[in-house]
Amino acid sequence: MTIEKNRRFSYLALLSAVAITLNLLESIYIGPIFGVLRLGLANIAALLALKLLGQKEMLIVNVMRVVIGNLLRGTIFGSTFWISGAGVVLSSLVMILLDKLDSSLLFTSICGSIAHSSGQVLIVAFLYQQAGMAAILMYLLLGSIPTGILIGIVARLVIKHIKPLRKDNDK
Amino acid sequence: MKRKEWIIIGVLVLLGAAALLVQKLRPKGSGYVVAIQHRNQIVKEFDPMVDAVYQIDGDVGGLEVEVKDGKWHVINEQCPNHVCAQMGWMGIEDTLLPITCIPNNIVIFLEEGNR
Repeated sequence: MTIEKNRRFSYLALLSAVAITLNLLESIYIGPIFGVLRLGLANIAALLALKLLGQKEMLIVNVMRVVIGNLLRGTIFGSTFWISGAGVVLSSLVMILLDKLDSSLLFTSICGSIAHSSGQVLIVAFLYQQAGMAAILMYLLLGSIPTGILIGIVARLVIKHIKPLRKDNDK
Repeated sequence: MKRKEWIIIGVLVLLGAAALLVQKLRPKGSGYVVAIQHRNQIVKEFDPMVDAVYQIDGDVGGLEVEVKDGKWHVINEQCPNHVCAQMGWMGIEDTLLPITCIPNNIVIFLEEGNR
């Protein structure tokens, strides 16, 4: 029992580290595509946490990614922090809902990607009182589908090689 | 992916494409005014048909907006992300797409009401 618990904890720590690293690498080396669209590489770790460990663990990985990622970039509690936080909250909620509905990994990834972009746009529109920002949603909706598919494929390839620690009651 | 999921994705793609098409086909008038907003205040308004360069102060050093041939873009931005400059040239056809510099708290957008 203790070994199992420790293994889960190790997976969680590892996935959090992967999420933070991917988040930082993406923000430093891979700029936004067409000025607004990001790949969302850190979502690979979130999807892995969801499928290998469970919903609670995915939330922990996502919170760690936003808080520690922003802390390391020096943007904690700034506008960037709240914007990425809003994206993560919405995408986490959508992914948990889809997980409860037994959706496929690829579909969860695509919807998570769309929700992440939408959450960010909505909070920017709210913070800057720019209802016109909603027009970007259409670009993001179309752009998030290929990025979601890409992230989902990568996550699926990784999951094939790792034994899930998730129990049925994690749902 | 399940069949039902493919259908949902297909519907989303169609919706997005239809909305983009509607946006592109919207009638375009003349007499546009572009506004530059810092925090909650409009600090500059300009006519996109008048070529100029405007210097705007922001939270982390500010930026410049270059206007040429009815289009505008951000240059010499003093911010860590450079996303605003990477957004490139915006024109009247991109009616609802604002240029946003989050570190500087600056938004450059087309004022619809002044059309």
